[in-house]
Amino acid sequence: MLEKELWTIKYAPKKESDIVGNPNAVKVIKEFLTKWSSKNEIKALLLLGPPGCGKTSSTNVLAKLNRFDVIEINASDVRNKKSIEEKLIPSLATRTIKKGVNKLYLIDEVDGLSGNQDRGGLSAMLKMVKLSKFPIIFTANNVHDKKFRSLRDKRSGIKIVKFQKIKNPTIVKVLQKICIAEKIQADPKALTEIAINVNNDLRSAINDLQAVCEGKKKLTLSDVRKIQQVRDTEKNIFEVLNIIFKNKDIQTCNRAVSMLDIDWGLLLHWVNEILPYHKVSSRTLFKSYKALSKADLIYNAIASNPEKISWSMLPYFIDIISSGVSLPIKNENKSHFVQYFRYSPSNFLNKMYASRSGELMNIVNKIRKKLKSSPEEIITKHLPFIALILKKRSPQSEYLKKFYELDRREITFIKNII
Amino acid sequence: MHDLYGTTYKANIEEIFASDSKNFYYEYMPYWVEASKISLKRHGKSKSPSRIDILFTIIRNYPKTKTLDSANHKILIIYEADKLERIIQQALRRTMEKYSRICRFILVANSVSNIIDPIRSRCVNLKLFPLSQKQFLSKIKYICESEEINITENALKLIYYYSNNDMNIAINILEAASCYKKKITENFIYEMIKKLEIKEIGECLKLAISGNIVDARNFLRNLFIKKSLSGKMILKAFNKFLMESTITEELKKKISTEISKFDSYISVPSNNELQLSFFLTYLATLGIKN
Repeated sequence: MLEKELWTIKYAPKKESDIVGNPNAVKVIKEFLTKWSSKNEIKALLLLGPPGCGKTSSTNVLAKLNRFDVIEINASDVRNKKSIEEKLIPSLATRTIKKGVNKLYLIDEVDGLSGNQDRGGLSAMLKMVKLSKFPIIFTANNVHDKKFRSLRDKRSGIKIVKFQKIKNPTIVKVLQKICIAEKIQADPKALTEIAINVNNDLRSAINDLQAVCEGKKKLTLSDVRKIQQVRDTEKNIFEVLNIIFKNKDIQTCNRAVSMLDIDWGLLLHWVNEILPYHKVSSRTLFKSYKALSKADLIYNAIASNPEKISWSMLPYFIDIISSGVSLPIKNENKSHFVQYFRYSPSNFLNKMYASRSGELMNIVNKIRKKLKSSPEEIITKHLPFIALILKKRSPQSEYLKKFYELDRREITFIKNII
Repeated sequence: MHDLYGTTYKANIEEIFASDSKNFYYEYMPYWVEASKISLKRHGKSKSPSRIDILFTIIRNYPKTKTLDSANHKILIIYEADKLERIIQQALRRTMEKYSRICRFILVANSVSNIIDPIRSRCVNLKLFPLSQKQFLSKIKYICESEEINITENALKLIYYYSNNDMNIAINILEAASCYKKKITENFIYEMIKKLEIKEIGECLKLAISGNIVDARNFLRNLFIKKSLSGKMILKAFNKFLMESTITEELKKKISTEISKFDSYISVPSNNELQLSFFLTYLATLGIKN
């Protein structure tokens, strides 16, 4: 069961009646678009609201219904003064080629303007509003940001539209609709649990639903509970893993990996963690691991010596980890589904870190004071024998305890080694 | 060294281990940490010194100071010199000549290939060979006599074979055995060796061969965490287990060539656990029964 599309895209609203919540705000946008003329006093809207409440998607739907072409500029584009003045402002003078179709500029995530990179971006945008013959819509999350003081100014010709959080019953209704369309028998309690969990964010509710329902026809409360603990911190990694292992388009995989905001080394750990859980033939698994091993070698070569081996090797790493690892699995036509949220490498990594830096190294260093040899030699050649001696009560063991200055906790630790 | 320097041993000899971690220096050699902090500050950096910074400071500064107690030379002993980074070896190269009047160097290494040529040319290369069986056994017998341990001839030979010409292991196992029994026989040494065996290795490999990678990997992780073995040690143990198992000679040959490849993956900076999991999946593809 290969899900090609994310449900957030598949079930995005297509008609005006599909839009849930915020009827007043939707009305304002609709009025703004239908009564648009360049002589209007209000030239732009600023949509303010928390993530996942439908700012972008309702704009897209309404624009399509009112025959507007949406030109989207989001946080991934550079939005400093220069690039706006050079690229966007000239385009304000031209019309679209299609007859009867107008242009709409959607400038997403305005609060994502970074101070350094996007210097002067905001003032350039204000200039753009003044010059524009086309409607412009800004969206932003943080209502109280100081940056928006200039946008709020009445003379700037921008009207502020506030979006409210979407209430839980509404989210549950949407989830139920999706479940019916996907032919999944869902426990209403489970859906409520998802809705409570996501903090009024419809987008992540749908994402959660897809993650939990992967390869299932029934949904119970206990399934949902499992996802709860990891949701907040590791949301992005699940999305990326889902794309890497389910999407057949290499370009999409690449983009997903390069957009990920965690350390690449951690991504390696994640892929390593979940890879064996795929139910595929051992030959296929071997091929996948072969690619992963290569990726690991490249990554460590870069990370250990960043001056000599330049970061130009990074694209190869991204190619391999995004598509090379998962391709053998995708090519094997058997149906497979892994619920990624069940597994996490953090447990192993924490333990590994503790064992390297903790008790054992203390003991090794203590022994090192008396014995002249390297830590590795002490672990293999001396510690097991010391443990053997300590296990038996004898004058020799008493002597060793004193000689190495070991306390009781360390002695029990050593005894547990063999 | 003790014979040469006697009471002034500690004042005139400094020993460093190339593979030491930063934490070791912070705990046991605080004076060098302070010194490297000062030298970093002089260059306008106020970070806490890393392992390489500390090693640099030792190599640059130790030879510059005078000897104590009217000894002729100071001596800097560097163990595991083959594990020193290239940049530090380069730094060593100049100081070795410049301050030879005050300080002499002794480098100890397992293999000479990782030491750069300019250093090799400045040193007298002494190659130490493993002890012969006769020398080895006579040394152990000497220990047995002075400690009043009763040991049979066969047990001695077994210790020799088990320790693989490594005196450390031989003496350790002798010491351990002497704690348990007054009279040491061959069978008793066998028992001791069995106690020391790592059971997880066999379990892990069997699971991997049968294709259960998830469980095999859990065993592998336990080796890392609970036994705190390094990737190299685990691979060595894997090799030993597989070579002593009952699979066909042809397969053994195939596996051992593959293991050498994995060893090279582990030797360069890499995630050892990941590479060894890869090795386990390789075993699963062989399709060995039993």
